[in-house]
Amino acid sequence: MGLEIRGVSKLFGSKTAVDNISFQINEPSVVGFLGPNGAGKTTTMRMITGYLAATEGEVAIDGLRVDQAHVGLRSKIGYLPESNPLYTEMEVHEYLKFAAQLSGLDAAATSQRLEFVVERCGLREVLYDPIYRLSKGYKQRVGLAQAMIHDPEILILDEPTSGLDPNQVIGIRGLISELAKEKFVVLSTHILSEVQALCNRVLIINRGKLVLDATADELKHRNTGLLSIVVKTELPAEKVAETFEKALEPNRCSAKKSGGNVNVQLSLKDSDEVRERAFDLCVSNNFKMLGLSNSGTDLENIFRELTLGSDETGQQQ
Amino acid sequence: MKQDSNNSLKVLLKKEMLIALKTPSAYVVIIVFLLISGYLFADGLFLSNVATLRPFFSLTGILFLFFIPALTMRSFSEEFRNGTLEVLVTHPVSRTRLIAAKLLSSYLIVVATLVPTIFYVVVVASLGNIDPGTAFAGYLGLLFLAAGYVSAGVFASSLTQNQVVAFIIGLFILFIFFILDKVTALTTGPVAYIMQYASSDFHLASFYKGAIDFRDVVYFLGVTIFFSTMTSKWLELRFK
Repeated sequence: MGLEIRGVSKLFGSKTAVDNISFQINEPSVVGFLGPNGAGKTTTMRMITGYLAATEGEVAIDGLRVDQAHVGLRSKIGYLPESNPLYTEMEVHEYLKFAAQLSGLDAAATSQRLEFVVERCGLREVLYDPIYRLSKGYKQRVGLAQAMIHDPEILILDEPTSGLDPNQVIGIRGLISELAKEKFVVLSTHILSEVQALCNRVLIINRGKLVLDATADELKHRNTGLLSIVVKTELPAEKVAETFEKALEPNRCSAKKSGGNVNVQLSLKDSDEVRERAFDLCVSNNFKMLGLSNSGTDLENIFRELTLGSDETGQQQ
Repeated sequence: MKQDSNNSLKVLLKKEMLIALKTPSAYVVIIVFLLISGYLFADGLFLSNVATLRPFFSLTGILFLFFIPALTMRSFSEEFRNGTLEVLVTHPVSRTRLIAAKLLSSYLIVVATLVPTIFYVVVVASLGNIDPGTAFAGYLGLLFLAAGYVSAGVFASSLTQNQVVAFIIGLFILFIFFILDKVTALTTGPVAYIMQYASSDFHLASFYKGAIDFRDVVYFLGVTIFFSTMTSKWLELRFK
């Protein structure tokens, strides 16, 4: 049961947009879909929602193939497309009611769900405004409300927080986390910190291929923890970075000076031994260590490793 | 609770009408149509000095060539351009219902636009004797013609995301249907006969002459079904 993607490929003419991708989601969770522009994220999401037909392979929801089952199967999916298309002439309540009724909700259920999404997405004050008059942030929330108004099992959200201000981003992330207690959420994003804040599982796609499928826990055990060390020293940041780089050989090292302190970020496999060496290094160089902490998984590094050399100017299909 | 999606046609039609009513361009198109048809009607009536509705029906048939593509040009084009079709088709809605809602909404607007023209019938009736049966047949002809034209216009709109291009394609298709029986002199024999049968104006004329012929009804329904099917097939290809 759940969502199953089996060997799905998509060709546009002779160009392969998605190349033999498979994954399953069997329990309520947030799955983060990452990749450079043009990697095939949107195309994959469109195939899950049934908007595009797969050239090869199949997408199944609760064991039923999306492309073969009755259109009624689509009411199990809530979808927020990347460009967040809206009928801008309509007022917010008209649009949301339309979306609810189109998914087959009756009048009572529609007003009940409308109340819920308006509350959760913070749309109360614009409920009777025409959509064209709304700010980008409000429009994004209308799009999200549309995706969840019929209480679908699966939510496919293509960049759900784009265009939102930081407070709204936190609000929407909270909402997504809460929804994921009982729903399957697949979201795509360019914001790596969002994935770390939200997702139980990360899928990285590059040039149409799935290059990483790992749970948040698995990521923590990869060679790429992010160690953050704060030292007090007169030396410039570059010198300090160089010293750490030579001694500890991290995947990546950066340093920033603020006041009399230098904050060094090291991407490496964290262990007691590494920490001891870092401490000894500080002592021998007369850096006064003010702090040492593990900032979690260095997703940025994993992302760069896996997607290096991809065409960053590529168009999303 | 969740209802059967049989309701979806009603929901889609409601949305189409809601948006049409909020779109200024629809009103502009309707007003321009009524002004031109009113002017041509009055002008023709006083020139010929004959109390007949034939020129009105014939002229309306010509005006429809422009009026209907102008009404239908946004139906799918706008959905493509805004990307809203992506939201629509990922809901539990069949393609047939989607197209049916597009056709019906445009058709209802055409019918609503024809209602004020009943005034012309009243004017002509007050000036002389008209046969109510002929007037009825004429309107019936316009309604059948409109169905075929709307279907072709919606098809044109499904081909492009540019409304102006959709209008021009629609006008082009309708013009070919209109012109066929005027160029039969170019050829003879069965080809001429086929061209005449394929002409929309030929079938409309038989209505406003007072004959409700089964063959004319079949023709217009055939055109309607043909273009709806083409629209459906084309949309299917687009999402492949």
